[in-house]
Amino acid sequence: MFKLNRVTLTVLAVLVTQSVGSIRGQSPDGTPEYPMILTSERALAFVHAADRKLDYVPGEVLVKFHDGVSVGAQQRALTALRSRPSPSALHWVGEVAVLTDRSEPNAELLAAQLRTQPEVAYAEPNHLYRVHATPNDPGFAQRQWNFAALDMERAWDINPGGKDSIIVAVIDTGVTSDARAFSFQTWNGRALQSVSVPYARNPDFAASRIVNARDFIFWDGPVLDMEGHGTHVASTIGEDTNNALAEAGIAYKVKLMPLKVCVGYWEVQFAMSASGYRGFVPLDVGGCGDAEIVEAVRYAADNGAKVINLSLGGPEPSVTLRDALRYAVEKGAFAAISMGNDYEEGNPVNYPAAYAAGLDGVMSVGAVGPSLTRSFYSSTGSHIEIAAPGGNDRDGGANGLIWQSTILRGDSNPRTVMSPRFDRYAESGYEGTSMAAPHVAGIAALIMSQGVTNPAAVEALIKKSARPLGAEAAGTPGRNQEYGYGLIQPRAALRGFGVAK
Amino acid sequence: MGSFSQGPRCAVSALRSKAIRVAFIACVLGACAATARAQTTVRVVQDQSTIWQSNFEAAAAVVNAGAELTVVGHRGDWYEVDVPGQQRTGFIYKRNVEEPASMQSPSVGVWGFVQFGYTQFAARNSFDAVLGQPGGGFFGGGAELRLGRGFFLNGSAERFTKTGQGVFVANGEVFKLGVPDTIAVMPIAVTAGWRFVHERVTPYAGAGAGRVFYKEALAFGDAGEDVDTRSNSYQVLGGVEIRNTWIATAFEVQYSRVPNALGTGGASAAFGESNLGGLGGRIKILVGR
Repeated sequence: MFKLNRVTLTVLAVLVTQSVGSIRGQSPDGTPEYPMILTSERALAFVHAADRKLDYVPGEVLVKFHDGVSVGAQQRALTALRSRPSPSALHWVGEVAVLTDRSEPNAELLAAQLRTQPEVAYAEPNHLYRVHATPNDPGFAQRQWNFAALDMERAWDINPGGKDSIIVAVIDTGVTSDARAFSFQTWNGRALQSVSVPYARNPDFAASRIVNARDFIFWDGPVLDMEGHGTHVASTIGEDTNNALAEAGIAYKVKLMPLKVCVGYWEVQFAMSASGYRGFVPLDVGGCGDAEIVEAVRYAADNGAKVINLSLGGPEPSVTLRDALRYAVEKGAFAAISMGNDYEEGNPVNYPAAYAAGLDGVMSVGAVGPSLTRSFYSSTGSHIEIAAPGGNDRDGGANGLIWQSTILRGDSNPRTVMSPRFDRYAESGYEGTSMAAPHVAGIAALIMSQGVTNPAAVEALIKKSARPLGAEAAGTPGRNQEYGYGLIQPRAALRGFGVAK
Repeated sequence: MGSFSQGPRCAVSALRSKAIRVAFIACVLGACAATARAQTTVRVVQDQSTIWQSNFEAAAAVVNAGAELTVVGHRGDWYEVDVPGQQRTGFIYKRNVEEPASMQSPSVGVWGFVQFGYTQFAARNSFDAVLGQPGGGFFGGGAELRLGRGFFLNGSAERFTKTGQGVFVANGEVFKLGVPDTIAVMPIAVTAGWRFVHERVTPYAGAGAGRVFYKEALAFGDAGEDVDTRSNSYQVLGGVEIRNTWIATAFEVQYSRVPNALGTGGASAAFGESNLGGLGGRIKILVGR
């Protein structure tokens, strides 16, 4: 596989610079075209990030000016940068501006320079977060052990799937919201080639259940999941149930709002190929832009989402994202965030999960396997609040994974496929705290459906009804650093409490 | 002989609920008993006894031993009686007549009673959250032993039951989850006290202890998740009894404490309420001699 190095990156940069413009999904057969959000410049930045193992988008910074700072004062602050960008070039996400300065890829340096300016409240790189899951090959016996472990059947006796007035936003790689073929340029190993890429909606999601889908990172067209992660997460939250198809989902009557903030290999490859780049992008290219996540969180809150799922994160903090989560809670949205899968990689603190402990209405979720012990990868820490099934292949092999409907991985594996397709779905086993968080999001949606509309109360109810796991940590009654308050208990949460118990 | 005034006519058949019907009948009985003229008679034991006019300035009548007089009241050493053959009352010296049977305290008396009333629970926030009201109606009965001139000892059992819904309380805000939650409270109590016997209205007061059986069943529960507890209780009470020979009506107020019966879970823990007792008022219909 072609691997980028500094020389090729330089050549690539020249190529891209010459071809920057409005790259569009092509339409040889008359299908609509949509402006690309993922410009070749930005795709190249993702390639840079992958090649240099950066956890931010090169040349992009999030800036928050102090309240009342005028445009002129903003201009003055921006003169601290070598490129001297104009305030009109800023892209505003709420009260935070996204500054792009491709002339200085070191975003940490850019942020440091801006932080020295008195007009700037804070500045930080536009971090790249990763989804917290690893797809695994199919192979199963008893698939949804996770729902049995949570006694979901009896929870559904109390609340069968929630209400369609509740909207759950899935901020992820997307859930395909259209069923069409789109033409994209790609590299076939010898030449650039236009390929028709078919997409289909997940047949286990009624079309009427998908609302306000939006792509914040790839293009200004329908949301297209080219990874499968977002669809898998959404399936856990609420794929159609009792329809003799695929698997069950928790809140199978609620509406889903797919918000695409993550790109992977194919999105970047398409964008790069469209710019004329002859070669393969790194297999591990991509990520979820901090700015896009912030925008999606605010969009979800502004458009009626009552629950937000964030199965992503990274080791770098983001004040902007923390503030966006606070904004969402204030607007009445509860958020479930995956803890991270880095326990065996030094167990670093993951963000935005780490912010959950300080925000009532936002919960950080760790993972357990079939034996209801912590999954080997599940990050721990004082900020963990709850545990849910996330799968563990060391605890039952393939049977220990979380099985849900998503795009057929084999159709788009860049290791084996030149021309992908995303129109076939199958039950796939994944593991990760990415899979644990949507369990909590789904239960939160059921709780919201029953009338607990305050996000902080939803969090308190989930904690109160949890089944403690592991030894209680000293000084923190009822919880510990592996499982938080314990395993989520949907039946207990949905029953509520009486006078005495 | 006492005579009942005519009770209110009521269309019992129009009442649907059995409970309402029972309460209504009890009310009628109570009203009847309360409004009965507690008339008594005395027998003259001294010939040529004088019945004085109300102003004691002149004799209203002179009666011989064996005459029966209707007593309408008393003042010091005098009974106020209807003057035979006249439309007025007068006063006769108490030593000239036998004491009315109704004012003689039997050495031992046994009475049975039914009672109903309303109690507001001390854990009113918890019950209000689950049941939508801070208290409820109790219905029950018991027996009372009366000794000497005023001592009484009674035992009673009553029951309250109502279905509300499961809730979650967060920072004092109650969220109702719509899952049926049925609560039954059954206090069994023994009370001792003193009756301050008067001819028509007898005040009384007492104190005692007992056990309170508490059951709570929240739907969709597992075996063992329902609540079934019993706790010690303590109570003080006071009231007045309006009596006619063999039937009486009492109006009673009771305060009870059932410490540490609640507060370890559920809404009561959220509100920090542990006392299952409360303050209630009740009406008792007593029958006996």
